[in-house]
Order: sequence, then C-alpha cells, then structure tokens
Amino acid sequence: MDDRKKVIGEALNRIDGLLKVTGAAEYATDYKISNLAYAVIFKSEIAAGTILDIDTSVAEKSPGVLTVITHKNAPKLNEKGGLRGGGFLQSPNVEYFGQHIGVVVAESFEQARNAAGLIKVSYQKTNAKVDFDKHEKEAVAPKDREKADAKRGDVDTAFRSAAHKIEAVYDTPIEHHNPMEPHSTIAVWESPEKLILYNGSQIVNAAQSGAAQTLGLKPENVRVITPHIGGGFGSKGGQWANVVLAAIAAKMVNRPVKLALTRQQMFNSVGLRQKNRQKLRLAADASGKLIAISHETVTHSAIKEEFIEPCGDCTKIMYDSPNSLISYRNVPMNIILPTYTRGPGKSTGSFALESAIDELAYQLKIDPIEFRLKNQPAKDPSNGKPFSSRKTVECLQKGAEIFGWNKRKIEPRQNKQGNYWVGYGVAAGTYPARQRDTSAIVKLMKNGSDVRAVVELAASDLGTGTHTILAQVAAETLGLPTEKIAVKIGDSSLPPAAGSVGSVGASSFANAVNDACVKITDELIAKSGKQFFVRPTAAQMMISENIAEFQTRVDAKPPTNANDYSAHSFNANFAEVWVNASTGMVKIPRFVAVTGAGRILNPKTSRSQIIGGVIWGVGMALHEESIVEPRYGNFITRSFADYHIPANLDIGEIETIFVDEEDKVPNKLGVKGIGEVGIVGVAGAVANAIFNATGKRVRELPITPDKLI
Amino acid sequence: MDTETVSINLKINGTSRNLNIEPRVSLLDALREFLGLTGTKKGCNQGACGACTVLVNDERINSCLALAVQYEGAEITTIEGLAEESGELHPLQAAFIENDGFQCGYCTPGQICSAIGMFNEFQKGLPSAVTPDMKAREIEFSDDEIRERMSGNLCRCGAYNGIFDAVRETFGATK
Repeated sequence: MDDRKKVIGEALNRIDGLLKVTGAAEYATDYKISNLAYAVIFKSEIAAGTILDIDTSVAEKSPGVLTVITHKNAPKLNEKGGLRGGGFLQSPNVEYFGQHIGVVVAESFEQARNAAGLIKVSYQKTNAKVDFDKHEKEAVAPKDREKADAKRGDVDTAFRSAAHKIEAVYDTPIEHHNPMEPHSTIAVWESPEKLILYNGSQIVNAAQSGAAQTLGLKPENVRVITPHIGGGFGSKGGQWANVVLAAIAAKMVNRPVKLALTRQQMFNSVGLRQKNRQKLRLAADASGKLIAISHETVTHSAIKEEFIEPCGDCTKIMYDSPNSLISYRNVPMNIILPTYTRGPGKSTGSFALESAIDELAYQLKIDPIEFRLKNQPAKDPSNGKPFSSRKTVECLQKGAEIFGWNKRKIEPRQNKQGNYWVGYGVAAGTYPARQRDTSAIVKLMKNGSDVRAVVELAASDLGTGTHTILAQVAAETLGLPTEKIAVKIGDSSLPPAAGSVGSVGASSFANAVNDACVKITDELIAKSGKQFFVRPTAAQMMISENIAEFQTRVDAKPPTNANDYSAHSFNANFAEVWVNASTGMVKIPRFVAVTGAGRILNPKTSRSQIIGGVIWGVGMALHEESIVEPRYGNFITRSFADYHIPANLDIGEIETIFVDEEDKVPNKLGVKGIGEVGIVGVAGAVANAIFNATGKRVRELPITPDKLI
Repeated sequence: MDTETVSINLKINGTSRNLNIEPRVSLLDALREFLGLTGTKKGCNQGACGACTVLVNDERINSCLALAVQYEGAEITTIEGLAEESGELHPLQAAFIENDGFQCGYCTPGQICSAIGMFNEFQKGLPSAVTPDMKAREIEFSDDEIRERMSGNLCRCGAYNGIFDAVRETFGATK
C-alpha cells in the first residue's frame, strides 16, 4: 500500500466548497447564539470638533432598548491596544466624519436601529481638513522611517541633462475595500474575564491580542473564532473599534451581542486606501537606458495616526538606474485612518510607474516591452542584494506571445473596429515573497486500517483557499488522501499563526503544516526503532506500528538566509481595451496575466486568486472612487450604487499563466504567495491600452467615460 | 416594553414556519435572525449587491428589500432548499464547486439563487438590457446575456469568470 501521491500542485476543488454552495459555511454573524441582543452604532455628523451633548433619553425609552453607550458611560479602553482607527467612545472629541460616537443595544435589530435614529447630538465644530487639493501644500515628511527619502546618485542633475524624459503626476483616489461581508462581531462573555468573539479576522492572533489589550484582558482570555471570512482585502487585517464596542455592549447588557456594521457605515469605519498624488520623473539616454527614476508621493493620513502605503516600492526594484529618488509626504486630515488595501502601494504605485514607462517608451519610439527588457536590473537596485528569482523577462515574453503583442501598433488610434477604438497595453508588477512565524499541530488517528489526520493552526481563509491548500500539503506529506485530512483554522485557541495579509498566508501556513507533517513522520519512524530503506509515510507507520493516536507540533520560522536575498513575485499584464468612440465607455474583452510566483500549490484556486486581482485592478482602473464632500467631510459615495465595483458584465476573458519557477529562498516549499501580485500592474496595463486605443493619456484614476470624450 | 408583533406563516423550502415578528422585519432578517436560515447573506441591506437573493414562487428577489409579512402563502426557496433531500446537489451548486465560482463564498448563495431565477426569466422570454431585439420570440442565451443578467449579484473577490462558466455549463445546453 503506497499512498504516496502528488497532491501539492493539483487542481483540486475547494474542500470547503460544499459548505459554501449550500449556505452551511458559517461566517461571524451566522453562529446560532441564544439570548442575543443587537447593537447598532451611531456616528458623528461633523468631521472635527467636540460633542457638547448627546441626548439619549428618548432612545433609552424606545421599545426594546437595553442600553445606550456613549463616551459618557463607556468603560475605559486602551485606545493604543493594537486596534486601528478611532471611535472607541473615550472622549467627546471628533476627528473625522462618521467616527463612532455611540452604540444602541436592544432586543432586536429593528429596535436598535430605530432607537439609533432618536439620538440627538450637539457639537462644537472646528475647522476640518477634508479637501486634499486644498491642504496638499501642508504635507510633511512622514514619521515612518521606512518612508524616509531614499536617494541614489543625483536625480535632478541627470534629469536636467537627459535626452529623453518625462515628468508627470498620476492621481489615484480614495478607494474602499468593500468585502461582501460587512465587518461584524458576536461577542459572548463566558465569565467576567473571558470573552469569545466571532469575528472575521485576517490575522486571528492579532484580533485576539488587539481586543485583549484594548479591553484590558489577558490575551488567553479572549478567543477569536473565524473559520470563514467573507472577504477582507486588508480591511479585516488590523481590527477596528467595532469589535470592542460589541464586547463592551455585551458586558453592559450581560448578554451576547451581535454588532454588524451597515454597508454605509463601512465607508468610515474600517479604513480605506488613501488618495495618492504621485510625481514621476523618468529620464533615458538616446539608447533607451534609464538614467534617472524619481517617484515622489504626496498622500494623507489621519490626524493623530499615520499610515502611508508604499507607492514607491515597485519603483525601487523594477528598473535599473544610476540615479533614483523615492519620497513620501503626508498631510494629516480629518478622514479615517487609511490602511492596507490589496497590493498596498504596489497596485497604486505601479499604475504611476508603468504609465510613465509607457510614456517614455512612446517618446523614444521603442516598443514598451523592449524598453522594459533593456532596463532590467541584475540585482536589487535598492540594496544590492541578488534576486532569489525574477521572472519579469519570461513573464513579458510569454505574455507577448500568448496575447499576440506583435499585432499592436506603436502609434495610438490606429485600430478601429466599428464604433470602438481598440488598443493593447502592457504593464509589469511585483510583490515581496516572505514567510512569517507560524505554529501548527498535526494529529493522526487510526481506526482499523483507516488513518485520518487533523491539522490545527490559527490561520485564516478569507476566500483564498487556505483550507484546501493545507489539506493538500498535509495529504502529500503524510501519505493520505485529502478526504482524510481535516483542516482546523480560524480559531485563536489553536497554535498561533501569521495572517492572510501581505501574501504571507500560503507560505507561512503551508510551510508550518509541511514541517509538522515531516516531523510527525520522523517521530513515528524514530519511535519504531526500525531502519527503512525507503522512507515510509506517517500513514504507513500508524498502521505498521499499530498506533491509535499520535500528534506533534512545530513552531515554523522563515529560513535564516532569506534576508540575504531580495525575494519577490513578478508579473506581466496584457490588456485589450475597446473604447466606445461616442460614449467613452471602456470594455476589456481580453486580459492576460502572467505570473512568476514560485510554487503553485493549487492551479484552480490560484487562477481564481489572480483573476480576482485582475478584477480588482479593473475596478481601480475604470470604476472605483470614494468622493469626499468638501464642506462636511463625509463620503458622497457610500453604497454600491455610488461606489462602483466591477460587475459580471464588466469582465471579459481573463487568462492566467504561471511560469515555472523554483525558488527555495523565501521558504522551504518555494511558495511566494499570489494574493497581492495579481492586482499589481493591472491598472497600468489598462491605462496604457487606453492610450494605445485613443491617444489619450489619462493620469487620473478611475478612467471614467468623461475623461475619454 | 415590546413593540407590536404579528403572527405569520411562511412556507420556506417546502416547510411551513410560524413566527411572531414586527411588520418592519425584512424577509432577509426573518430568515437569518428568526428562522436560523443563515445561508442567505446580508451584504448591503439596500438592494445593491444581491447577496440576499432568494426565490419566491420561482422568481428571484432581494430579500433585504422585502418585508417578511408580505410573503405569507408564497413558496420561498433559499440556498438551504436547493439540494435534494438525499443530499444530491442542484447541478448549479455542483458546477459552482467544479468551476471555482467563488472565493470567500459570501455572495455565493445569492449568486446561485439568482442564476436559477435568471434562467426562469430567460425561459419565459423576458429580454435584458443587452438583448439585441426586444421583440424577438427567441433570445439567444449568449455570453453577454448571462453576464448582464448576473450583474445584479456583486462578487468582490472577483469570481465572475467561474460564476459565468458554472452558469453557462448548467443552463447553456438546456435553452
């Protein structure tokens, strides 16, 4: 009986698929908890100032209301306890429109919502900074040291004397993550010191420690349960005040409480992708070699807290240049704290960089792929380290072949099909590959000749396919079919794990599970005291040694030499756009994404991940924009009717290709992670294709029809 | 002090269920909070995302925009009621798994119910915004017809290609 089969890398269906198509998968608010009370948050209607008074008397007498919580009666919380943003009800101060200022708890959702509308608030307003254009000049150097000016050579001198150059400003707007599952929590106190939180959390242990520290509890007394998450995209990475407001509400009414943000509330509750104004300067010599790259970003953060997405990150490593400058400037504004959003910095930064590259290639009359190939760095230009692997060239060449790049005309406005201008665009991208500390337990159970395994770790699955890839890794490493593997994740009482953030999930979780399965096999062999010519599987050992139960645990860490290299995924994106000559509407019937992302654990789920990234990029390129009302500081766009994300008809054929790549530097399994890289370069490819189609260079996203007619 | 409730009977997935609810309770909240049928999801509660789609007398509706009390006597089908009692999946459910028509899965119950309702509409000959000839007796079940008719169900993970493939595979041959 040799059950050793190749399972890693097979296109398995998701093991949680059955739960998801039958409605049985439980998300945070799906848990059946008895005696639930319902909480509804109410929010500030000014962007800056002080609450003079909150009159809760009518609301408190409203039917079914159990309590109303405001800064006047909320328990003391540690606002620096590791949760993000504001709205902890600790003072009458207001720093952004829509800051949480209170919570109504009632017997039913309807009663709580109705009572929240009966609250009367009076404010002392102060001047609010909500208009980026107006306050851009007040931008200052960031506190974050990683965002300090990074200079190499002398950009200004090289730029001044260059034969070919472009200087342009690229704007990307505020965007919102908008996962389909609103941020929601059920808080259950088991005892006055012990709390259970059912809460969608990309980093289970961070949600646990953040809630614990904010509430003044021991981390081991807070249990976060989150096996299925309805999307997150960064907004459920760091957790926000709503989680602890559910907890204090439950404490105050001495009952379990469900608190779900509404879609409208999400726009100023759980972070956003900030507006970035990026000035790019690129210069090349007559042969098309870059001699200067400068990427200067101006953005905004919250009044007291700073978060700046790293728009210059791609620019650091994509192209070789003796002179380079990356800088950031920040305006503190009365807008909720920005946070990580899919492909943070890289997706927005690559739009600017890859547009500028396209612009300069056009000026040089060089094919944009050839221009990129001419300027590939031999090693990481930012730190001199060798790349652990870098498939930019292969991605560009393979993509060009599959896409039919040779049919593209270098001059724009050359291809008209009926009433549509047709254009082709290309853009490259990158995202770091890393592994983070993660522990895992593997348990083996034998019943007769039936051997089963359970792997346990506090990992998360926000739709990426974590359940499935971990079953595959365990199955192959233990010598069992995947049906015999149970994957227990999404619970902070399990061994601590990294999060599904920054594309570290797959590498961190899979390597920990692999290590645990290798270790348990070693231990079973050692325990038998026998020598083997061919290494047996753990499953075989359980049977031959007649062991009923066995388990082990590992605390997996990244390889010690990982930092000697610069390790990243790379991609190339190809877009075909059709621009309606009368209306300016853009269609993208065809998109090709070629990715070098190390070992692919499951071609089916990874294809979906890349397609998802592309669709996010299409949203960024054509649809998504959160507009701040400049007088009041609220978002005008705070529903799916106003904040447009791609719908089914907006999406055409998307072909995804992974180039072969073996790279064991970032981690033993050679997994680089693909959640982020899929979006990087997409908006650039679309914008470049639109230029090729129409001759119009749009440097401000989203590229809505009004910008093309 | 309680608010006024009414006693109603809903027929859901072939089973009669009695409940006492306020008239302002949406069908979605009645399913989720009063009847324990949490497969139907709340994505926006304002009729813009489709996550709450259920079938009422074989037609798709946004249950967040419907009051439960309006639906006494109607045949309501939710995601929990699509598979056979034997456990055999509806072909569309199976096709969603096979074509990876989801990632996080939160929009999936709505997508599946919506696609079933969509095909019922199509079979009745109802045109859509992309139907070339509004008066045509026979509408082609084209790729754009599927995409347009499924555009009321948003998927933020971006599983549209898999959703499209699953719908076309299931209903494409039976037009």
